[in-house]
Amino acid sequence: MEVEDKLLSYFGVKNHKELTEYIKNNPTDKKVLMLKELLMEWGVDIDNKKNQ
Amino acid sequence: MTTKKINSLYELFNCSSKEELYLLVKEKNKKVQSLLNYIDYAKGDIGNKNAKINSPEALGKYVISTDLPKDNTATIIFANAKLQPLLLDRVKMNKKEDIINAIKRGLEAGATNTFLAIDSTAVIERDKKKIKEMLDTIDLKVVDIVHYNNYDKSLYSEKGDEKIYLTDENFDLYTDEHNLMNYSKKKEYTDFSRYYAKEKIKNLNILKDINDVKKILKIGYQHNVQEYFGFIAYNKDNNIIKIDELSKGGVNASIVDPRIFLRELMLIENIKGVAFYHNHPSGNPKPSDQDLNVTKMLTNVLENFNIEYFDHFIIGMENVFSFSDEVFGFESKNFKYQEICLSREKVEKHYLNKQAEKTPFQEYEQVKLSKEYGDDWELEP
Repeated sequence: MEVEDKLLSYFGVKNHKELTEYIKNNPTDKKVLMLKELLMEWGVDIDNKKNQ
Repeated sequence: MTTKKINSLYELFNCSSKEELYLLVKEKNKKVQSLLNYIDYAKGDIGNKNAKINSPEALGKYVISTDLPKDNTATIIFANAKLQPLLLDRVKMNKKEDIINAIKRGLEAGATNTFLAIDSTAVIERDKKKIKEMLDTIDLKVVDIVHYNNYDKSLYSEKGDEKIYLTDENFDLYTDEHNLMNYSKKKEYTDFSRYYAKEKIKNLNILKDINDVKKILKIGYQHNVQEYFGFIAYNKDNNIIKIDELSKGGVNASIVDPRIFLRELMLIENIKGVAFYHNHPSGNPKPSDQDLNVTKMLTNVLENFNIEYFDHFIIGMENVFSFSDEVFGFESKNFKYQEICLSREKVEKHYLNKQAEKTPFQEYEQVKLSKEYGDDWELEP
């Protein structure tokens, strides 16, 4: 893997925590929708609040 | 040169379709490693932006929700100071370049702490030691290392010194309640004592309660193994309005950056003056030449911005050293305080020494000698 994290650069965030927040704060963003769809495929529901 | 605009996630990973991307993810292809890492991160962090890995149990729960470490691939969880996971990365433990790149990403993410998850059945002790050493060297403190044993499906936390067994069915945790511990409880006492000191001091009056301020500073910082440099700001009534640390690790002109501390001070409403403090991990509060230079630099900067210089305290194991009280040439600009500090005898010595053109440090040494052995002792030139 290169030094730069491709996914983080694509979303313009510094880390995974920020990416999660970005996803939650921009539910209608096209990029977010695509990522959420992929995550759902792997059983990750980012909007699931059960762990809160 | 033209830059191709990326319109979709699959294009980002050079795939021609969504299906192709999904296939790469399914195969855990290295080309989509950043995506795989995020999927794993999100599995352990769903819906909870304040999730913390603050105990071996929490680490265990986090690790089992991810792809468990296999062979010589380790998982590094980069976390912030609050132990909230920021980034998950994977490295081949015997590949130095892999580790360096992951460290760069961790630093970029703003991490200060790390957790490692390794496959205990495959890992070589030397590799583990090496990666820990690299992370520690760059101040990405390794809080805990969890070993996954693929044979008995257990996780072992080095810090907690406990084994956590996983059931095959649902990966529920089986732990001995009595063995559970909290990293924050195990964190050095000094973190708490510094917090305590700051909380206590912020309600005091820097003039009336100066003895308490010094006493509390000693309690808060005397045992710290690192140097912390902080300030205490007060208003026109000498009530303390803010106490904070500016830097840690050392005291010199480059670390105590006047631009940074001025920015901090200028943002404090109703600030009249400021006292500085730092601790000496050696326990000896005697100021070094560097301390004198830094204090001189800070007092000059304050003067330019009309902020009153109160004092600079050095916290040792037994005593708190006061520049205003003990070093000529560094008297407080708060005259009421300086009256308390300077005895008549010292004032006289001050003028005598000024005539002799001694450096403040020599003057300090001379006063110390006089205190201990009487006035007949003279400092060697």
